[in-house]
Amino acid sequence: MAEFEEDPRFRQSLRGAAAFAAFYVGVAVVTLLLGFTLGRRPAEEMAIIFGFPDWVFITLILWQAIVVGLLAILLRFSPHFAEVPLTPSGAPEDGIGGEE
Amino acid sequence: MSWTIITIGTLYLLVLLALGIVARRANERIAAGSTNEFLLEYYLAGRNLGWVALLFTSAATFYSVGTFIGAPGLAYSAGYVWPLAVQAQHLTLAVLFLVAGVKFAIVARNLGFVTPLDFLRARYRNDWVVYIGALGTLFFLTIYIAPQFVGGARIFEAVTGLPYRQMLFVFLVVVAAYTLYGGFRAVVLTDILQGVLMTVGAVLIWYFLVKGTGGFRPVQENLIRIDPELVRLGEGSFATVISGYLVFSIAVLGLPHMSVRAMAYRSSRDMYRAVLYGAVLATIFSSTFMLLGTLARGLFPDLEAPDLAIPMLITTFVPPVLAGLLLMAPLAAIMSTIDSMLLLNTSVVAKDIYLNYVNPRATVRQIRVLSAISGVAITLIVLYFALTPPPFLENLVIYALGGLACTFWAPFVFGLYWRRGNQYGALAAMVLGIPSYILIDRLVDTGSLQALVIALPVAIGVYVVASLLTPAPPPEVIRQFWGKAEAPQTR
Repeated sequence: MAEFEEDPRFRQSLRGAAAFAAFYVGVAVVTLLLGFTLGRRPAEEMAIIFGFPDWVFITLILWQAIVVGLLAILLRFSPHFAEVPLTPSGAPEDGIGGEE
Repeated sequence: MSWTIITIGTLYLLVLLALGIVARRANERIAAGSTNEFLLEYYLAGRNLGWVALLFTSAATFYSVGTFIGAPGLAYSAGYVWPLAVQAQHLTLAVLFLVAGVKFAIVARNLGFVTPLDFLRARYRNDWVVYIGALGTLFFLTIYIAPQFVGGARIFEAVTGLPYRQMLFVFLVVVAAYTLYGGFRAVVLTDILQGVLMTVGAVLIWYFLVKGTGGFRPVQENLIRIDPELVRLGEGSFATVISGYLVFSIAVLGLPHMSVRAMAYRSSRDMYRAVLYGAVLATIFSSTFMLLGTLARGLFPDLEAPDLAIPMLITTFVPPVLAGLLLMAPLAAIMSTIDSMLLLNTSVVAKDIYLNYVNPRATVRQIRVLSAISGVAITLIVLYFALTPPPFLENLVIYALGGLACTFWAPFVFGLYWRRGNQYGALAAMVLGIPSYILIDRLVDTGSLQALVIALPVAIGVYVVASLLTPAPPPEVIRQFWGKAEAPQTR
């Protein structure tokens, strides 16, 4: 194969994809553990929190709010999600729906 | 018959048509020149989506009749296992943009892609990959569109008392008109409006439901009285939830109507913002409507059709004028999904097939006319299927999602990140992935496990094996997809 210079933006995008995949798997594992540990009990044993069975509130509402917070931290602090120019010149462009 | 709801619905549809006209004027002002300029504007709004536009067009496109009507219908029937299964949707936009979005956006600009099939054409350099991709897109997206129209017409029928067929016709005409007239810009503008409406609607429904019921404890007790399995995870739950993760989240990487958005945003900063706020929106949408589906069972145990769970909650607990507005939320979800799919289908016919293979010198006018003709033809096919609606809309949605994922997931994802992946791998994955999905779905009793859980690994495995057994892609392809671009070719 002929030699060529690899675009560092593609390396960053691969690392970003891998970092998010790890995050996603971690979130999925915790979700399934929470859901299937708490949600398999008999209905009579479940407490009601804010009008929902405890496992529903913890897994589907509370944990999801935490996941959004974790995602914000990942996007803010991980070097894999640093800004990357999409054109070789990296020039910003005017757009619709949301200022730069 | 509720004239309040009919009036609000009519006004809403008129606003959408007006946005289609606004978008068309912008199209003509911006892309008055070459065919390439027109394609970039008509199919991608000039790759200029800011974060608000990207957020709402992505969310409103992905969250469809399934989120607002179909899956709540299944949550009504099966209980809280469905909210858990669909919960994976919370990270769907993140899956799309953080896994594939950056590289897709860069190579699309470097090589001038306008449609997802442009990517396959350049990456694999095999016409059959494009043909099969085009067929897969047209077939499964058309199947996907049909239940959306059914859902929209059903909602209107349920709350206005007007006949289903009339509602279906009105719906089809309005969505086809603004989409085909205004292109991607019209889709995005209407998606912003519809996304805002969906969000406001999701929040307001909770308010009125809590106010109307005085709290959900009695509802939970009623659910346990009806069937204790509704509130716990029983037999087969694990398979349902795993299927949900695959169908409603991971499969997004194989959905061409979503991946086209990864070519349309303005900057990585906009994309990261859209991902974060997308997770917030998704939490509101998914949690709200899935949980409401199960709650509706405790409130109305004997609904005629489970898909009526959300409309019934709205019409029962929300004052009439606001109910009219809130009922526009699921309608908005439906229309914002249909318009994107309809536009993508027309791009397959007019751009990917006609311009690429039949008439490479086609004029803007010819492409516009062919887009309109193909859009109308697809709309009529959808109308035919929608006239005999199935009992559970979600089953059709899941089927179409699975079919698209089996067609495109491996060629898209491996094409982006695996240098060794080649045309034979892509062809094998598509040629074997699609029929294996259809056959497994039709012939194999997988219980609660969706056919995609078996068929997607088959498609991926076939892609890898076929690629390894055949020659590597040409160096030019590797240079284009991994090397530095020599000069920017397009915006």
